[in-house]
Amino acid sequence: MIEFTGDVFQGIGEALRLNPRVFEIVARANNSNLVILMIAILGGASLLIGQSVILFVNRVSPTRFMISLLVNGILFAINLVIWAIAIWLVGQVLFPNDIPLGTVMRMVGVGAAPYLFGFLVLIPYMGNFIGRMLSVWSFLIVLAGITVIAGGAFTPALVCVGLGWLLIVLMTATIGRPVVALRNRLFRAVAGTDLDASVADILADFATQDAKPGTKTEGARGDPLDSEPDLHRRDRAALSLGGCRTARESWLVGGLVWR
Amino acid sequence: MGWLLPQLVTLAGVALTAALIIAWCSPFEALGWWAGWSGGLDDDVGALPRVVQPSTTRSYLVYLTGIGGFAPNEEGYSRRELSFFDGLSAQLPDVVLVHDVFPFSVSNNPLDGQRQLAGLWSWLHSRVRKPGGALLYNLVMTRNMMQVAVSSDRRYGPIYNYGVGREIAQSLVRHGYRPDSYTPVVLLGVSGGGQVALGAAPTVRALLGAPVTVISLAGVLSDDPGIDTIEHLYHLQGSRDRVPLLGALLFPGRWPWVGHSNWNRAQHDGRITLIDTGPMTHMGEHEYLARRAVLPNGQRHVDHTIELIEKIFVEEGLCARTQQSAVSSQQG
Repeated sequence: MIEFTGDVFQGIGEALRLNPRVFEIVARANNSNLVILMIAILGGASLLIGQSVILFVNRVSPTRFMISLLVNGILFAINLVIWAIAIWLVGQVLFPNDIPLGTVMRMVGVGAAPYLFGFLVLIPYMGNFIGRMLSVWSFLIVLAGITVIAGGAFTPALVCVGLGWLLIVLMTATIGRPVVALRNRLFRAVAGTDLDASVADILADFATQDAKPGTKTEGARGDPLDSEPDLHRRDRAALSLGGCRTARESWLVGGLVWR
Repeated sequence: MGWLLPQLVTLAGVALTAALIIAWCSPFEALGWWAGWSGGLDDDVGALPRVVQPSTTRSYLVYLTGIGGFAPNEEGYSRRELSFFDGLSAQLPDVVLVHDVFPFSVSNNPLDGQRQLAGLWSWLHSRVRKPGGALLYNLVMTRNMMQVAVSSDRRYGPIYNYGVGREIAQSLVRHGYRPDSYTPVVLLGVSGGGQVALGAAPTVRALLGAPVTVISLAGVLSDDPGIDTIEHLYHLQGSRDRVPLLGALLFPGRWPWVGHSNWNRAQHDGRITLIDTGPMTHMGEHEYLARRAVLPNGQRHVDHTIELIEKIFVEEGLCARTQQSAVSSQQG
């Protein structure tokens, strides 16, 4: 176990430095699958911590919060597998080769290493910038890894990685929609919110929902801020008029990086 | 000198790590409050002890302290602030002054309130006038500064500003404000409190049905959407104060060439007025509320600041005094 943990950390460190040696080791070592899977799952979980505002806004319980992290890690890993398949397919069509799919998958998995810092996306003001930096860093690692297994051929590697990503974007919007729907259903079952839900949507839901009896302390009737139903009405107005508009703008830049 | 460099590097590393940890933890108070993990939204509103609004009241002025703030009470405010309150109350007798809201907590929880690090913050506050205490107090300022960043962040701002706005509205009701009376509310935010005032304004407006004006005293302001809902923004800044420029630098929506931002739209519509307070600094002996520092004309800084605020109240009709009576009293 200690050796395994050591391998995970060593692999992460070398991958973050874009060390070509680590890619060579990963390409050869079939037994590195578990280590890479751990990197991908932890990266996905960390990223969700960074973007956990969507869970908090949805008022998930601490237990659901923890389960959501695990589920997001697994979904993140599946997402990487799909990207790896896309890269491998593009490679087979445009640059016929005998690189096994498993090797490409391991390279893409190693590329998830920067997302271990995904929790830093939570930092106010600069969090979104950090998120974008992590995406670029991850892309560069995958590109470096594919270049190594392609025998140093940079341009074909860039074409495969880029087109592979484009293929996923196209599929997500077309024939892959049922898969996306399934993924969202799974996440909703766990977190109680959609992956695609924005802070604005959730706040708007709160703003339009009926007042829950007993959730507020009773006050003297007649005063608008004192009267319970009226307070709810005013709260909803405050959220729908003030908060939601600002939140909708925010989520356009704060959306899940890998979605 | 060679031995000094590693020490300084270590010290800088420790400071940076501490700042990163504080920054990372900063959204949790607001998020936990909203999610109900920390008691939260549903149990803090209710039967509020209230006073009847005197018929002479023309408007309400809510003071939101700067990032050096510790608690909205006599122990938490500096002597300069307390003296400033006295001056304001004397000059604006028909304005109700409210200063019991802590702008750097989503639930108006002061730093010595019910929170895990209350002991640490209290200790730092108690040492602020002792040797080295001011340096350590930077931790408190960093903590509060990060809450300003939370307020201005479009991800967390809607929740944070809603919470603070709700606290302001409740405090106003406690001070006799009658919702839907359309009595004007002025939010006076100092430094980082200026951003929070701007962010909280839409909620105050929606909860109370009140027209809201914001006065930023050297505020570090973002391009907050709240600016669209206020009557006017008055930004007071000293010629020797560079800190408010951080807002103009750090938030792209405030860059002049970014068209259609909330800030630029408001400026184009004439809803922002910039007022030069003279050679005042952000902090220290020559700051806005200083009682000993004097302007070239011999007027004390604090008196000039109060005079400028009073002038805004007069011009906006937020107090009973008219411009004419203000001029004649000054001449007298």
